Amino acid sequence: MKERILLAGNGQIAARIAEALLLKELPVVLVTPDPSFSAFFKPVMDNKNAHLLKAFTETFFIHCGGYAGNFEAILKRHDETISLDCSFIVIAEENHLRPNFPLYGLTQAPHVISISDLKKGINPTASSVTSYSSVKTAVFLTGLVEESYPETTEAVMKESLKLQSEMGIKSYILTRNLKVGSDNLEALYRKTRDAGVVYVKFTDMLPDCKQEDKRVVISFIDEITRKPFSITADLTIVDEAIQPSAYLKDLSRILKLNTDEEGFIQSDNVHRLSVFTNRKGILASGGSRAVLLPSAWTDEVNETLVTIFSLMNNAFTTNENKAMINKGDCVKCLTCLRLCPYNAVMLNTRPEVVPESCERCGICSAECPGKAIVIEDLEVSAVSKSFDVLPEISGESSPFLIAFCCSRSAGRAKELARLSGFKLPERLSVVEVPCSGSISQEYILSAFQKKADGVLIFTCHKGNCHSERGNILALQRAVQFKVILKRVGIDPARLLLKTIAANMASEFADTVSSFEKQIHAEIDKAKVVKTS
Amino acid sequence: MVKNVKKSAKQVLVIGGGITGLSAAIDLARLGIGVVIAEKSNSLGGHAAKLSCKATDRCVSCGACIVEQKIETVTSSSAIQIHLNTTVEKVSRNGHFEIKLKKDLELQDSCDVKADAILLAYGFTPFKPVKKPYGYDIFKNVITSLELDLQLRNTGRAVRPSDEAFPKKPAFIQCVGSRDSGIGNLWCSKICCGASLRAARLILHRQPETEISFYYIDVQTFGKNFQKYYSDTKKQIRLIRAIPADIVKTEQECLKLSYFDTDSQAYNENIHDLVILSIGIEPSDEKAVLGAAMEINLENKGGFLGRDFLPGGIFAAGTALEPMSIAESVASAGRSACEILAYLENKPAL
Repeated sequence: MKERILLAGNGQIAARIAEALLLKELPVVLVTPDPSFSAFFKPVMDNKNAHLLKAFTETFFIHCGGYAGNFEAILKRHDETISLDCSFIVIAEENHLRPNFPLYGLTQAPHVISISDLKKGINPTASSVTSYSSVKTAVFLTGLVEESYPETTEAVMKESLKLQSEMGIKSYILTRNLKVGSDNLEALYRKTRDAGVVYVKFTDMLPDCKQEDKRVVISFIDEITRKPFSITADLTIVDEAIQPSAYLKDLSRILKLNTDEEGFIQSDNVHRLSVFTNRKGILASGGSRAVLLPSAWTDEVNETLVTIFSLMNNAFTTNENKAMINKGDCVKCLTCLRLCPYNAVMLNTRPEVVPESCERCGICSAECPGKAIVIEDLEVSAVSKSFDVLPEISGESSPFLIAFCCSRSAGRAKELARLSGFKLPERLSVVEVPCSGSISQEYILSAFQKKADGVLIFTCHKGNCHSERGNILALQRAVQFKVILKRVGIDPARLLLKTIAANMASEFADTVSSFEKQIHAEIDKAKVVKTS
Repeated sequence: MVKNVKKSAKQVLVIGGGITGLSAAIDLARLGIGVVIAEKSNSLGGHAAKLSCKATDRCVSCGACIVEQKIETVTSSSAIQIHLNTTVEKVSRNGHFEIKLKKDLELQDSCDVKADAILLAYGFTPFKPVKKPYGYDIFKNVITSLELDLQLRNTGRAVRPSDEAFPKKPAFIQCVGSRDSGIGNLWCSKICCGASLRAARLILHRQPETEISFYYIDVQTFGKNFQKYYSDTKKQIRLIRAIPADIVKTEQECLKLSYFDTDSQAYNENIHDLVILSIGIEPSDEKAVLGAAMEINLENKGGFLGRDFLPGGIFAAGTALEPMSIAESVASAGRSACEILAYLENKPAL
C-alpha cells in the first residue's frame, strides 16, 4: 500500500493539505471530533482521487503507537474503537478564537459583538441577519488589555473600511499597539485613515466602557491632547484572543507531544521549525503549532507538504547506531521511558528502543542507573579513545583541555571560530557528541583519567536543545560531579559548564582561552607550592 | 568549493545563499533534486550569519543560530553545488535554462550551468540610515541595529564606537526606514521590534547597570507567548512612544534626542551615550542588475517581488518577496521547494 497520511483538523489548512495529498494519489485519513467536515473540505470530498480518502467525524484519538513510516493510531467513534495504520500524522487544528468581552467589561449583546460575528455578517444574539441601517457610530476595541496580532488588526481594518466607506457608519478603532507586521497592513492602515476611520491609541491608560441597553458609552483621556473624550457607540466590536484549541491539550497528552507555554503542539524551540514536533513523523501545522496569520497559510501548507515528501524520501533517516537496551542489565526502572524526548522507548514486557525513532541523543544511556543502554560510538571507551592526547610543547606547560561539545551548537561554534581565525588553546581536544544529553559522569571521569587539566562541557542554551532537556540533564550531572570532585580533593573549578549557540564563535574562543589561562594559573600555583 | 557532486535528474539554480536559499536548497536536495547555489559574497548565510545569539538565561528563539547548521548541511550535501563570489551574467531559455555564472574572484571567470528551474532568493538590502536625519555617519555613537549585532556577536558586549566604553544610557530608535510615507516605505519591516528588544534584553543581561530607552510607534508581536515577553520587557526597558524629531551631539560624544512627550505635553530632551537605529528591510539593490541578466522585470509592488508575474520555471522566496523573519523565510523556502517540485514533475528531465 502507498504511504498513508492521517490528518487531524477541520479548517482551511487541513483541507488544503488533504487536497494536495490526494492530487498526488496519496491515501489520506481525515479525523475530527466535530459532527461534520467544514465547507473547506468540499474540494477534498469531490476530488477525483476521493476513493483514496477515509473521513471520520466525531472521532477522537485514544492512543498512538509505532514510529515514522509505521504508526498505529487507535481512534474512538461513539462506542466503536478503530485501529488505523498510517505512515505519518499531521495535526492541523485551527486556532481557537475567544472573544474579549470580559476584558473590556462588556457582555455580548445585539450591539456588542465580536470581530468574527461582524465578518460573518451574522449577529448571534439578534433574531435574524443583522442590518446595520440604524447604526451611526461603530467602535472597534482591539489589543487594549492583551496584546493582539496582525491577523486581528487586518480584520479590524477591513471591516472598519466597509462600515465607513460602504455603509456610511462613523468608525473608530481603539487600540494600544497597532499590529501592522504583515504584508501590506501599513498601506491598509493609511487607506482606512484616508477613508475617515479614526484611530485612538492608548499606552498606559485605557478607555472606560459603560454598556447600556442600546449603546456603549466609551470615555477616555486622549493621550495626545490630554483632554477627556466620550464616544457613544451603537455598535461595539471587540477583538478575540487567538489561542490553542482545547482539543490540542488532549492530543498532546495522547500523542506524547511537547507543547509550548500556551499549549500549542510544538515547543518554543528553533529546531522544530517549521512543522516538526518531538516525535519524528508527527507534524504540527497551522493553528496547531502557533498563531499563524492567514497571509502565511499558503507557505504553511506547502512547507507541511515538503516535509511529508521528504519524510517519504527517507531524508531524515540516519543509518547510524541507535540505542540498545541490554536485556541482562535492565532492571525495568523505566528511566529511559520517562526521559526519552522522542518517544523512542516502547514498553512491551520490558522497555525496548524503536530504532526508527531514536535520534542518538544519548540521554537514556547517560541516565540509565543500571548502565544497561549502549549506543555504539558513544560508549565511554569509544569516546575516551577519541580524545586526542596532545603532546606537551617543549619548554611550555600549556594545560591539556578536553571539551565536550554538542555538535549542533558548540561544535559549529568551534568550527566557525577555527575558520574565522580565532586563536584556540594549543592543547584543546574537542569531542563532538550528537547531544549534550549524552555527556555522562563517566565521560567526565574518563577525561580526568586521561590526565586532562581542565574539562569543559558545552551545551545549548535552555530552550534550544534539539532533545528538549538534554542540556539541562547534562548540566545537572556535571554539577553533581563537581561535588564528587570536591570530596575527592580535586578542584571543582577544573570542570567548566557553559551554554553556547552555534553562531557564537568569539564566545567559544573566549571561553576556552580564558579557561586555559585559569587552569594555567592553577598549575603554576601548584608548582610553586610543591617547590616551596 | 570542491566536492563530489552527485548527478541528479533535475537541477535547480538558487540565486542567493542566505537563510532562504540555504533552506530551499536543503528542501530540494531532500526531495532528490540537484541544486546549484550562486552566492554573490564570499560566504554563505547572508544577513542571518552576521547576527548575534540573543539568548539570556535561555534561548529567545530568534533563529540566528540555525543558519550555521544549515551551512553545515548544505556544505556536506552531495546534491548541492556551491558557487561563491558568483553573480548571474546571462540566462537563456531553451526548454530549460542555460545560465552563465560570473565568478568575481577566481581565475576562471565564468561557468555555464543548466537548470530546470530558478529560485530567486536574493534577499533584501538593509535601509541606509543616511537617508534619515539621525546623524548616522556624522556622529560616532550613532550605529545601526546590524552594527550592534556585530558588536554583540564579536565581543559579547555593546560598546560606544567613540571610546570603546560600555554605554550607560543607550537608546533604540525604531522604524528607521519603515512605516515612513516621507520616503515612500509604506511597510512594517516586521523583524526590528523583535530584534531590538531581544538585543536590549541581552545587553541588560550582560551589562545590568545599563539604562535602556526604546523609542517606538507600535510594538509588534513576535515569537511565542508574546504577552508575557512584553510584560517582562516593560519592567526592564523604558518604552517611549515617540519617534525623536531631532538629534544633536553633546559633550563626550553623547547625543541629545528631542521628542514630544505626551505626559508633560511638551517637547522633552533626553541625553543618550549611544543611539541604535533599528533599520528596516528594503527591496534588494541587486534586482535591477539581476533582472537585466535574466531579461525579466523584477520591479514590482514598491520594490518587493510579486509571485504572480514571474514567468514559468522562475520562483521566488524569502525577503525578495516581502519583509520576513528567519522562521518565515524558512517556511517561504519550503513553499517554493514544493512549487518547484510540482513544476518539475510536469517537465521531462534535462
